[in-house]
Amino acid sequence: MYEENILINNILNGDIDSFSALVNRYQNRLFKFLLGLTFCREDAEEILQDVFIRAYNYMHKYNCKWSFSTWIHKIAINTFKDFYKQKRKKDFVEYHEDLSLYKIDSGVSIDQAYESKELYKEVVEQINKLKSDYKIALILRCAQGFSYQDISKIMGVSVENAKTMVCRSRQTISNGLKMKRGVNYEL
Amino acid sequence: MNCNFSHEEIDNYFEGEASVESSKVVSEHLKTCEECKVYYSSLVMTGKLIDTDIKLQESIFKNIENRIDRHKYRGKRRLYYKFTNLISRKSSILKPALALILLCFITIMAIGNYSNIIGSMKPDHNKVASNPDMSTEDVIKTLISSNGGFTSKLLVQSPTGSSANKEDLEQAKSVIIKRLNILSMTQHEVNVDLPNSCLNITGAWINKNNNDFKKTLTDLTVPGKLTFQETDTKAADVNGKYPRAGEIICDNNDIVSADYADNGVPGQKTINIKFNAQASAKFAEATKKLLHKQIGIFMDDNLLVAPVVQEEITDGNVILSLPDEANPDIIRAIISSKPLLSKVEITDIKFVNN
Repeated sequence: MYEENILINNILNGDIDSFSALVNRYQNRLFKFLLGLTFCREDAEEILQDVFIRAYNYMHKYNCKWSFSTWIHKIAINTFKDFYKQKRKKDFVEYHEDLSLYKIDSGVSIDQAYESKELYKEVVEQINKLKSDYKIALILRCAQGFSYQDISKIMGVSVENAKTMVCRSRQTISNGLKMKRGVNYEL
Repeated sequence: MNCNFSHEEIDNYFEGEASVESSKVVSEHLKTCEECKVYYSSLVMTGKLIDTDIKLQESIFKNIENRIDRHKYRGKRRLYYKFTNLISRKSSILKPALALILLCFITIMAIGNYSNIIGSMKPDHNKVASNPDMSTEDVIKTLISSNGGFTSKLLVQSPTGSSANKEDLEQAKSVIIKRLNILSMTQHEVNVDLPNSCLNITGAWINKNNNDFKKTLTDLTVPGKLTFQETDTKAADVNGKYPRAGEIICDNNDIVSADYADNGVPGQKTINIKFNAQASAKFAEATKKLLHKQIGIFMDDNLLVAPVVQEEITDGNVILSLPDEANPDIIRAIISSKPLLSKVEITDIKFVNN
């Protein structure tokens, strides 16, 4: 936190190397977050660049009293939403399902690998069916490991609301899978 | 197949946040309940899917570098951004303060507008008077309808006692207008009625300060010749009037300006008279001659005051201390104008909308 504030102060004094250091510090964490939202490497990378550019342009508005991680995740969410708003307007592309991103456990048979892939596909489908805010809350919790307190700050909702959103997302995914597969599935 | 086991507990177990006891209970339950086992599996799968360890192959900074303004926070702009950064850091104090200032501003504006609305119900003298589209007559009519006013007829007789000619009437008109203007009580118009040797005045009150205006107008229609004379106070007649004992030193025609003055004595009514250069020299000579003697200051035939000359006055500035009964506004209005050469008498005065 202290180091981040030094970096930000340096950036505001025109030091571009400090911005490079800040990008390196956050790029993988944010990439993971955006990958969870998009399931598409290209989109995630494109959004990630926009997130850092936006953060740089608005750095003078950052209040060091708040966590930088919270602030940049807020920017990431807004950039993600704007990105798909524009993209939908342009060519009506829906969310991607780039399953090549996910590794299948080694040592499994072809049948098992195929089954796992199918199952992943269905889980992705269920995640993509979630409302945007529910999906964001779920990723913030499961992928980014944020506390409900932090999620409530990032999303501008109450802690209870944040908890409810994550819980309902999980149930919706589980119910969706159950509808498709019955109860006879497991990894 | 409707298990009522708490999903929240399973969530906590999955996230590793459950207590040891709760973990045992959940673990045992999952062994026996197919439904909850499916739910737990979906948690694991979702977690595996989104909590990946995929990383970027290289820093994206190279791509970003070309798309940002490297000089954004350098040079003169740096100060601006530092300032905005300071504002955003202090926003928790500044926002309520700004809100309060805005609220005060709106309140002041609202009160101002309310006053304007109230004010607009009555015509504003200055606004009406300065309206270029309205004639003087219209302006006065409008003001009379709101503030009230008067109409008056003044009979003018020439100094020889015959009917006034055009010249007499014009002289009287200019003097009366000048005196009314200096008095600043009315917005007025004076018209010459040559066949009847009259002046017709129509006036509207400016401040409704119209107490006993008939007397005021009567006072304004005196000849009003102010003279500074040598006098003999011992020679007063039975009415307390002094005869003119010497030559006239100077009069209204020598006065450049007459303004209210303050001689430092509370309650004392004083007027500062400034003479022109020629009269100043005459006055200096007279005050030298009359040093420690009285000088008579007359309004027409009446002595206003007779102060003792304390020192020679060479700069042409005379502070005239008026007697208690004198009205300084009227005196100032009279001595600022030329004396009326004709005899003027009020034959009619009517008040309108009072």
